[in-house]
Amino acid sequence: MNKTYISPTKLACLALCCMVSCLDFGFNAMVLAIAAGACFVLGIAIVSNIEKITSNHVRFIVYALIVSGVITVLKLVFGYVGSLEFLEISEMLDFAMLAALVLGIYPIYYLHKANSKTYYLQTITTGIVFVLFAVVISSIIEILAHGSLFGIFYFDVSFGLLGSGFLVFILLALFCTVGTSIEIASAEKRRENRLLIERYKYMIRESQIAKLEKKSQQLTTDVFEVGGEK
Amino acid sequence: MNLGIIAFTAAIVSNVCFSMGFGILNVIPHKKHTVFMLVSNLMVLVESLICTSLYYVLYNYVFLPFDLTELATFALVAIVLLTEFLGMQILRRASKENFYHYEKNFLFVVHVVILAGLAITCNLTLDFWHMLFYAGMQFAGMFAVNVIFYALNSRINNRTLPDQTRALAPQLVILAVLALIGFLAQGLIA
Repeated sequence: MNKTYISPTKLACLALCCMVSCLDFGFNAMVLAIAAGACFVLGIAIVSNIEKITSNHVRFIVYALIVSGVITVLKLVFGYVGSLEFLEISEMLDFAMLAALVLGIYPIYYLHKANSKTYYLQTITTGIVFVLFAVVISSIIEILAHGSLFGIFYFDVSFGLLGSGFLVFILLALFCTVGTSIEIASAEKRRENRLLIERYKYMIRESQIAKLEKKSQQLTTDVFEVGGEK
Repeated sequence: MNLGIIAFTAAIVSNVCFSMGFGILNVIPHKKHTVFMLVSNLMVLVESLICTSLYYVLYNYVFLPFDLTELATFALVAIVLLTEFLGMQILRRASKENFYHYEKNFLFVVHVVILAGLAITCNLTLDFWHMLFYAGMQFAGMFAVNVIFYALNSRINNRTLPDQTRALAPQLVILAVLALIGFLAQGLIA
């Protein structure tokens, strides 16, 4: 069955949509995004070992259980750290789990037939893009809504509106458009390169054929010349 | 607690689409098929009520008394996966056409995320029936946004738009506008 294609950039944006309520502050968002990215990469690394045994849905179930297990462990660890910031973040870890589950769509449903290099490269790239988007978006929101960056205050402002989902969705739309443009441009470049390689191959083959024809013509004339002398 | 306040909080203030964000996943796959949209949403409603009820019972009568609240997430995901898997099997036997759309649009993953999100964001401090009402209102808020996006589908997925700005980006902008309206409504009523 042909599944609807979702590009990694759009998937990263959708995963960030799950964390909209946690993107108020840069530090919180960074820790949550790193936790989600780590769960995602770890889960996919384990699930990739059983890709030839089971169906995609069963692999997703295993992946979801691994991710929720890792989130439970992280909650315990953050609880033991005891810092107020980490206790606050541990309450939001469930949203990071939702984001990790969304990110899992791409490797589990699209890359299951790809070779291992592409599989891991795409997985890690998607994870990194997700973390970068989260850090940049949350930093912008923190500066505009609270006048601080990673907890350090620069100016005294408080715009509740910008702290709500409004600005997050606008920024996500912007990032999605830019990311999709880059994806389309790189796909176009890859296609052009492939066409160029094909053209060079064709030219090389043509020249080889021309050389062979020339050689065979020469051989024929040599044979005729030898026959005439006889 | 007043039912009106619960309904307003669940459907507008904590709307799963424009306030929490994860509800957008349920909005995207329903493009043209009205019956499929209704079947999918009905599935989410029934499953969310089952999952939230089970989660409520487990949380309040097992995890909270024994101080095991950290394990709640794992248990919730297990409940959601089991419920969704059963739902998928029922849909497979009931309707081939709807199952085709279900498979094509990754609704297994989408429903798992939505169900887990609805249970996580549900107010577990309320009593059981109020909690069920809260879950129902959360779904109502999501369904309302779903209907808005379904009506605007032809504009959002317009072929004349460039590839970069088709589908997700306009949806996010509409969500931003809805978030703004929700924020203003919250301020007006407060």
